[in-house]
Amino acid sequence: MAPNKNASPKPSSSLTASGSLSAEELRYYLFEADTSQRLMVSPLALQWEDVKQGTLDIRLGTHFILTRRNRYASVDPLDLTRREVRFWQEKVCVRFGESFTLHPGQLVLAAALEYISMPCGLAASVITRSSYGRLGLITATAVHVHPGYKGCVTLELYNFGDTPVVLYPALPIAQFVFIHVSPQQIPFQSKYTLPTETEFPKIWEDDCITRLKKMRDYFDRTQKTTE
Amino acid sequence: MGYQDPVTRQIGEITQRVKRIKSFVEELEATCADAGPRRFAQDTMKMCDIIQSSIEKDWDSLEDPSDEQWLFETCSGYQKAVRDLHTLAFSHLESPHPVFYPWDLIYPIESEIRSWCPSFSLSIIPYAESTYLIDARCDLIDSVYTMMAKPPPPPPEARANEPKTSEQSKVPTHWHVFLYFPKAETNSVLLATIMVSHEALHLKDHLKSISKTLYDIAEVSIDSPKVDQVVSEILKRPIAPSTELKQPTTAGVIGDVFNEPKIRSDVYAQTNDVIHQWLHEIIADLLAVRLFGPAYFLAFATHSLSLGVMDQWSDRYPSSRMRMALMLRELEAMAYWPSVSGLGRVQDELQFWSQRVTDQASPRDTILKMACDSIMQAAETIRTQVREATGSSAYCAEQFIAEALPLSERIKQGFPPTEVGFPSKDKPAKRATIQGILNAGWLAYLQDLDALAVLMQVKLEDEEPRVVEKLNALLNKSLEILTYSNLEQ
Repeated sequence: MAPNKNASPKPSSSLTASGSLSAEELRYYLFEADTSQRLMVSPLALQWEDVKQGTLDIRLGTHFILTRRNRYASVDPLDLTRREVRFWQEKVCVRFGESFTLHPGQLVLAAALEYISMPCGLAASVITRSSYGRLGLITATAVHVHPGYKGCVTLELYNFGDTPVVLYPALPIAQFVFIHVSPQQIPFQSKYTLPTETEFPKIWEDDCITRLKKMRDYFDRTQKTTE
Repeated sequence: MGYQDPVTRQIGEITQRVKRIKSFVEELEATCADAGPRRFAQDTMKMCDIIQSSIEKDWDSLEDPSDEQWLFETCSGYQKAVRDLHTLAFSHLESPHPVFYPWDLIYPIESEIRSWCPSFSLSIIPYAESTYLIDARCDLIDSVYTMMAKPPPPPPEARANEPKTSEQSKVPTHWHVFLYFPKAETNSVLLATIMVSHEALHLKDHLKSISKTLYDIAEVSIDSPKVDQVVSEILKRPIAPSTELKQPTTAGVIGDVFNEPKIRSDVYAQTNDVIHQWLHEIIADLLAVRLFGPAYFLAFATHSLSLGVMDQWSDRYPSSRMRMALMLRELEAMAYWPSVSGLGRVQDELQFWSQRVTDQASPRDTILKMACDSIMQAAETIRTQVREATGSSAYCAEQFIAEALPLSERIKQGFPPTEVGFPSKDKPAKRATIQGILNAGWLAYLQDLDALAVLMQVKLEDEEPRVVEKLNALLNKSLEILTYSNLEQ
């Protein structure tokens, strides 16, 4: 493949380093000529000030998943099915320019506006931008983005402050911090493939759920026998 | 995956849909404790089995594969059966699936149209269990301003010699169009976006008065000898005896009651009415095919196959075959033709349809037949008018090859088709147009589903609906990004 004249030269440290990416390295991955090694982001809002810090902003998408608290007393991951999840949670769409209010103690699932495609040599962490953290907002509880991931990352928004926070689609509330993965990994296979918006949890697809269910049933039976 | 023609694809899609309903109902049966829904689930399963075995039987007994009308009707019959079953299955159960509004689909259309009609807006209203009502409206303030900015009218004596006042001066202040849109297709960007565009382009026709300027031209091309023939036939028709009259009437013919000029003017009036109605549809089609390229044509063909209107004529709508014949001619003029390389599977689709719509069936009704003939005679003029209205904004083959082709490569890699090429340090990547996204979507649908299935780690033959759903989700994402970029500017 012809070398990309626009790309920065590959940093010499990139093969061995395991710390977060520098601005120079980030630029290298963003403009890499080999598309299989390129960090692809769309829409790419290049704020060079951010790139200087070696991070990329994540903006809020337009779809949110809310919990219908009135419908369940509690959620047991072992009993969840697709039907149950969709009965318990609901999806809402907020148009650009409209707002969404996150109340204290409320958890909602949202997705990033950015669709990313990670090369095999990179992983990323999602962290809240400090300005929003100061409002009491946490943006992600499952923060790791695996090498080879393609899609819009899910943000688990939680307001741990005491004041409702008004959110808007496209608000840059979080950022990616990239890290090298050495040696390069084969792409991560997930049950959430190519997500373009926030998706309902799919806990029941985990292998361990069936095993844990059996254990629980066994425990229940033995307890009943003892009684 | 080899090429499948649209009819075979539709039958395959029906089988997949049945499978999907089955898996949903199976899940319900397994998880539901109540006898009622369980019984319903069992019945639905039986219906699924009947449909599936019936498709296979019909397909095997097909003697003449060139009998298109039979093919189209069978196809639409099954589509309807499955759609009904789908609606029934989901309406009878306490559905865990929330109803999504297709906002994402209509945003970009809305913002595109706002570039030439700022007051335009689309709103979605849940209409029935299975339908949305999409209401497109705009205040025709622009036209009113233009009207007011015109010089004052000439004095009455000068006006007497003037031709008739244009229809523009009678423009109402509000314009509405309603579109009934199936909820089942909410997330189908490939079909829905393009169908919404057709309705929205009625507005362009209205604003530019394209149909109205063509009324006279199409009316002139009504074949007079044929009218004579129709009139003489009507005059000879016997009057049907009235059951209300107590006294027996002497059976006569229509000519005894009505004179020839009256019948003639009625025939002309009726034919003109049909021509006027049809022109609106044809103009919106031609505008859409010029602005959206093959994507509109392919969506229209799929939609028509599914609804079974391929050979259906009415006072309001010409048959889909006639509309498609006109669209194909326009695509040919836009340099899309099966011989053009670089169109991928779109080339095969155009080839398939060009063989099937040339020898089109004519309506049996004499009035509709005359309307059809006169429109086909005036086709060249109609297309010229549409071409003038769209100007340089047509999506020609050259653009398709330069934009849709690379965008479909993005989809193949599991990335939404948002940009053509890649950004560099000094220059952002070229943003995809709405036409590029939709055409790339069709291209990927026709030729790259297997690549997408590999990325999703599923077998295409087992999970085709899921793969198509993902393709639609990727296109939807691109449209969202496009809307965002437009709003940001």
